[in-house]
Amino acid sequence: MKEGLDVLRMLFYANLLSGQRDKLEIIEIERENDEKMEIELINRRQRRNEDTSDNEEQQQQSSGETRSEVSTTSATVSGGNDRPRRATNEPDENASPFENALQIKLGLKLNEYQHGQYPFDDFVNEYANEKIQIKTEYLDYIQRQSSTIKFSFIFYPFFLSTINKIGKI
Amino acid sequence: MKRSIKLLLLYEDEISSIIHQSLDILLKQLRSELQSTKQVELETDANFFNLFFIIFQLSFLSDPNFIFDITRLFYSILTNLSIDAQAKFVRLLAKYTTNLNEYISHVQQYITMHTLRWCDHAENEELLSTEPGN
Repeated sequence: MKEGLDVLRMLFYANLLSGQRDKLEIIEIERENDEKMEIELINRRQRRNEDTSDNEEQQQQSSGETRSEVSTTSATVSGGNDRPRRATNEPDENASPFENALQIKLGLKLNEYQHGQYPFDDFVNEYANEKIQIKTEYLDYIQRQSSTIKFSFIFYPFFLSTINKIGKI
Repeated sequence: MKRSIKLLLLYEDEISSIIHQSLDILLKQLRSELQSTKQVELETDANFFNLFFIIFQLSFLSDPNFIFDITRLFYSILTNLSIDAQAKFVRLLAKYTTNLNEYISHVQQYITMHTLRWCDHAENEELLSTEPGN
């Protein structure tokens, strides 16, 4: 199955490259919107962490304990680990697991293409998608480290049907 | 080459087993050469990728008699090329897109057939992603 999906991914990239890339203005607008969204998410997370640590402090004070430093530290650590998995523009080892060596080699940014030569639906196999137990696949995927996973359908978002993409969430 | 293959395909059923044997020998030899020190030499040969284009255009790739051995071996070789060679192949595919939809159909047929076989043999709760690959 893996070799089939890897070949399909090569064809998917070729289909994108033979399609039309978005105009630079659109790419720039979307990049700015992404940055704004990211800043907003970070702010929200910080506010949530602050609220959490305030609540913890209040609870500790009410129970007579004065270990506020511990709660601040734990809030900071949890904030650090709470980063969502996302595609980044930087081709480094810590990049999103959805990016792969071939995509990086091609310098391909999937979000910069809205159309390929052939419709994206051609790359979705409905029969296989019906047989994928997406929630179990996803749980299995998040329970293991990315580096230890040889194959998971999660690495091939272009292959997943909309239902399975929603199901993943 | 294309004309010869087209003529040969008029006798598709008759030549099927011969093509199977030939591809089996060819692909196994190619796999061993790629695993040897010849990999760089082969991948930089100007005609190297023609081989993949020619095989990709064979309708036999979607034939149930080929799909579990020959097609698997072919895809396995293709996906085990170096990343540089894979990228070069993708760029060539993007340049010559005439048969791209045929190639997509071959791969979709491959995935469907492997899913079907997996569903027939898999134990309960076994994930499709555990289907043995290359």
